[in-house]
This record gives sequence, structure tokens and C-alpha cells, in this order.
Amino acid sequence: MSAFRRKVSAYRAYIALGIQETLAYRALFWSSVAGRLLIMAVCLAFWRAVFASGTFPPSAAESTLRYILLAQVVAPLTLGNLIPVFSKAVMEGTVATELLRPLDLQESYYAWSLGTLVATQLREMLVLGAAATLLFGVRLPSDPVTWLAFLVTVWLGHALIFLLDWTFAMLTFWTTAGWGLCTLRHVVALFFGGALLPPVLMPHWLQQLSAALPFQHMLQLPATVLLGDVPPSQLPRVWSIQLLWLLGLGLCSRLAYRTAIRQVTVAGG
Amino acid sequence: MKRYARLYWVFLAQWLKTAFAYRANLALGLLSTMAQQAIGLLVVWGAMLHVPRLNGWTYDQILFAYGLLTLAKALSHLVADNLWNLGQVYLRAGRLDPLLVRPVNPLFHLLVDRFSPEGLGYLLMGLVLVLGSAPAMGIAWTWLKLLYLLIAVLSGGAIFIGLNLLTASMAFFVMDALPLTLAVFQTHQLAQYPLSIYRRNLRLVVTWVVPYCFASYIPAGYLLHREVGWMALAGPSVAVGLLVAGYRLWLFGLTHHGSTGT
Repeated sequence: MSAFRRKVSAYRAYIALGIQETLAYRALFWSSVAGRLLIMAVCLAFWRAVFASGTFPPSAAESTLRYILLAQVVAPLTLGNLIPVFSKAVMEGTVATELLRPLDLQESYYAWSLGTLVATQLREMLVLGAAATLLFGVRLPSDPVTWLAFLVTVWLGHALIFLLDWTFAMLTFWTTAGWGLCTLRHVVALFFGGALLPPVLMPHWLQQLSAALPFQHMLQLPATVLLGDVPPSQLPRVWSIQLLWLLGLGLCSRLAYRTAIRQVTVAGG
Repeated sequence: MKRYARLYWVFLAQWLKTAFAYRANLALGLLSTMAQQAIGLLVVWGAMLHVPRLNGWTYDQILFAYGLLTLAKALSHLVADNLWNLGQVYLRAGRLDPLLVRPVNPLFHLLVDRFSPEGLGYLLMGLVLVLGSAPAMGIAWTWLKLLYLLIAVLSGGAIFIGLNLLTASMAFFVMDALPLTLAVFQTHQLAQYPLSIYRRNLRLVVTWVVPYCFASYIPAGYLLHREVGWMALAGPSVAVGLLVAGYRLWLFGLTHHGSTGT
């Protein structure tokens, strides 16, 4: 029992580390918020112009615009920075000390990443949501049950992103292109997650492709839950799909870790 | 001038040697920027499946303007990517000091200290877009128009570099200027779409505050005989103005540079 307690307190320290680290970069946080608001304004203007240039039923245009704005509000939740952080640890060799600690490396990084989820990503999302309510007339739900369901979906979605990023991060044992990998992962997640091109407007084959990928369960799903478009009776079903993805990606990430760990050579001295 | 050209080549050759020694890194860097651009285009493509024209612009015309912007961005990444590192990598770690005691212009040395493969990805993508969409535009190409296009791309690149130099040089005065550089750089996304989709205030921002539209819709509009007026010829002056302002701020920053004291 005491071993378990020790583990919990160690991971609590990692969560706190994630929170402190991201709170320290205040200017970066606010510039990121400003940048996202600008992208939202661009998206809104673009899609308004698209809907005005074609023949769309007004109700469909209205609900798609609502979805687009909310997807942009939720988008920061999918933009973790595990890959560059891990890549730095590998390049500078600090990963060696981390490997020596009597804790599982993946678990401790998960605890850290949970800290950044709370301190940066959820915070950014709430600030963005508030600003978007004022600027663009976004309506956020007032019902606590919807928020609770949203938080559960986000928590599962974040775990999915973590496992995916972990698998990608293992590549940094071979390559130093951590930054490139990270931006690549970000845009792929944003696109197939449904934040850039609303899934209803995608051609059929693209819809099928994104349904076969895990990204919708990280972005589109939380956004639709927040919109109140997922009835409570459907929640157990969508959560179990997320759990299935977690299982698959969990196995993948573990396998990647096992393979990568044999690759470590840290410069001595 | 001749000496600088030779030096530039020496530094570039060194970088190319290391870059090609790690081919997988180079390929990943290229691939990631190209994929980023491709996804931006997929959005335009997906939207244009549903409408024939966006505020009067056809799909090809939008691709053309997008390509011009991408080429300008490519130039700034190819020539001046290291500006992004000024604050966090050079100033904070005291790594600018070695560059200051060498017998070359410090800004030149900073720019050639590290190149990035991302620029090549943008360059390829921009060329594909511009060359691919140009035939469908119905422009009667003459040497004069090609020259105009070349100058437009060069001034577009200079606008990107000038704005980055201005914001990066702020690192001499504040702890962390990267968020500022990033915030200003991101506004170039406004210039990816026709200006007429924005309300007046956003239009003014992308024309006069962060004049990225001189790299895309203004030259494209001029070539397509749209109403752009005298602004069609203002690009080079805007670019030179920004470069001069950026360089002056850089020089001013250098005189205030106190180093790390180690």
C-alpha cells in the first residue's frame, strides 16, 4: 500500500510540474490566445463568404457556423507539446537521468501532460470560449451535466492524444526533427479532427477516411458534446469507442517505447 | 559585397553538408511543411466544392494568390529563418557575443548561422501552386508581367522578413519576444483569402498594420485586372520601408545589448 502511495505522490509532483512550467510562460499563453482568436475571425469570415456564395439552406449554414466556432474553441485541447519536449530531453541527454528514476517513464510523462492539459489547454479553451462568446456570439451550454460529459470526453480524448504523441515522440530517438513532427501531427489532428473543414461538408470518401482515424474522437466529439448534439443515452457508446481506441493506441505506444528504448545512446562526459 | 556573397556561399555549403548528412531529418522537415500547406489547401478545395466562386474569385485564382503568399513565406524562411532564434537561443544564452566580435556584419552572421529546410518545402509548394494555376487564369503573359510577378514575390518575402526583424529585435528590450513574433507572423493567414470577405477593420489591418496582402491578393488582383489602384505598385516601397525600420531597430537594440555577463 505504501508503495502505491509513494507512486501517487510522485506522479502528483509531475502534474504540478506540468502546471508550473506552463503557467510560467504567460506571454506565450496570451499571444497564443490572440492568434487563435484571429484564426477564428478568419474562419468565420471565410465560411460566411462561402455560405453567401452558394445555395445552402440557412439553417444548415447557421448550425455549421456554430460548429466551426466551437471546434475552434475546443481545438487547443488537441495541441499538446509532448513531442518537442521529449525530443529536447533526448537531444540534451537528460532522458538518461529520467530513465534511471524508479518510475515508469511513460507514466510520469502522462502525469506531466495531464498537468499541462489543466493549466494550459483547458484554461486556453475557457478563455477562448469566453472571448468568442463576446466577439462572435458563441453560445456555451449552461447545463452542468453537459459540461461534465464534455470533461469526461476531453479527458479520454487527451489520453488518446497523449498515446499518439508518445508513439511519435519515440521517433525522436532516431531523428532530431521533433519540431517538424509536432507541427505535422498538429495539422493532421486539426484537419481530420474536423476543426478546419466541417465533416458535413467533406466529400464522402474523406468523411469515411476521417471516421477510420482516431482524430475525430479527440476534437469533433468533444465539440459536438459541448454543442449538446450528443444525447445522454449515446454517451456510453461514444465513450466505449474512445476506450477501444485507447486500448489500441496504448498497445502501439508501449511497443514503440520498447523498441525505442534499445536505441538510447547518451553522450558520456 | 563580393566578400559577403562568397561568405554566404561558404556558410550555405557548410549547412548543406550537415543537412545532407542527416537526410531523414531533411526529408521530415520538408514533408511537414508541405503537409501543412497541403492541408490548408484541402480546406479551400473542400469549400470550393460547394461554390463556383468565392466573392468573385475562382478556385484557380485563389490558388494563385495562395501560391504567391507561400513563395514570399518561403523566401523569408530560406534567407532569414534564424531570426526566430534571436531571443531564446542567442540573446538569453549569450550566444550572440561571439558573432559580435567577428569582422562581418552581425545581422548577416546571424542569418547565415543556421538555415532551415522548411523554406525549401514552402518554395516547392509555392512553385507548384503558381505554375499549376497560372495557365487557367487567362492572363496574357508578357515579360513585363513576369517581371512584376518576380518583384511582387521578392517584396512579399521582404515584408515577411521586415516584420520578423522588427518583432525579433524586440528581444533586446523584453525578456521574451517570441510570442510577439509568433502573433504577428500568424496574421499572414488573413492574406490567404480574398480581402473582400473581411469587414473593414480586418481589411485595414492586413493592408496597413501587417501588410501581408501586398504578398498575395494585391499583385494577384492587379494581374487579373481588378480594381487595386495605385496599391498595385506600392509593394516594393512597403517592403523597403519595413526592412529599413527593422534594421534600425536591430541596430538600436545592439547598442542596448548588455550581454549575459558570463
